[in-house]
Amino acid sequence: MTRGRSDEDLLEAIRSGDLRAFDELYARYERRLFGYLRRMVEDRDLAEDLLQDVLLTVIRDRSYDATKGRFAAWLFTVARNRCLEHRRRLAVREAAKPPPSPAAPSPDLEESVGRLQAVRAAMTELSEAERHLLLLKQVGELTYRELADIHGVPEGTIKSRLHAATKAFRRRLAEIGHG
Amino acid sequence: MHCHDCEPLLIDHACAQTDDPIHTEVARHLAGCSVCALEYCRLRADLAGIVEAHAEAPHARVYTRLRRQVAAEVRPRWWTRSWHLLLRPIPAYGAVLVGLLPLALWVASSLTRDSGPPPTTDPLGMPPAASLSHYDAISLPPAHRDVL
Repeated sequence: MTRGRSDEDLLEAIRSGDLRAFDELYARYERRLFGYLRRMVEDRDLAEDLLQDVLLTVIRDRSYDATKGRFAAWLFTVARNRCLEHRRRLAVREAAKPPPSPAAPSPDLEESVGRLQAVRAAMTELSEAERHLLLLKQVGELTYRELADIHGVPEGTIKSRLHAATKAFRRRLAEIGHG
Repeated sequence: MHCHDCEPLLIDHACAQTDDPIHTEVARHLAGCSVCALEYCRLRADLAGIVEAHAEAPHARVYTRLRRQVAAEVRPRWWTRSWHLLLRPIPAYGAVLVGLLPLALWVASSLTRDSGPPPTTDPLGMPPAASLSHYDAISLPPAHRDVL
């Protein structure tokens, strides 16, 4: 399949008022970005709000310089920051509340039918950092270099963390019975 | 390359993060080693599962709402819209131009034929000679009348 204009060109076109460019960019990223946000915040409505917020932010913010990195990396950096902000706000709110009663196990985890549920279950059992890294790598399709820039660590560190996360994920998947 | 050298490189290879010479070496090893090839296929399937399980479309209302907001944000004026319309690579523009070209040539040639040569001014002040058009010296005059 041929890919038309680059993401960076589409962004410029959107800013100059071309809404067809927006349609194209949205179609390119809606599933990947929403999938990432949905797994990070675990709430569909909130993920939809965040998707809207992230896309509007990247369209408004003119500080992005295409020569310094790909649009995808910037987009997922903004998405990650929004998720972290949300987590922080949530943590403050949760701290003020009384401790919740133990929740019933998620139906997704109980029904181990199908591979996709198994993958989701295996991902859920990873640590937050590991899950985050795997999602950015696989769903966001970012490079080691881009991941290193986002996390502010050397590329070698990202590589070893990603190896560990991948191995942990596959181990969990095998334990569930779909590896 | 041996299996114990190849195994730690499989994740990088699956993520397309190996350098060219290493990539070639791993690919060559995978082509000749069924054990590593099987392990690599399983790894790829597991990683593809992450994408498959997490790529999820938002509700259609998100798109509608967002598009409206973006439209309000970038505020495309009529001249901006017209400019983008013109920039679209539509082959029909070319076809219309090619179709109009003979018409333009015909109009131009008929205009120059009707106007004739410009009147010249005589240095003695004589009026310019009247130009004669549509005169055919060979054909017969339309009627023969006796002069006297």
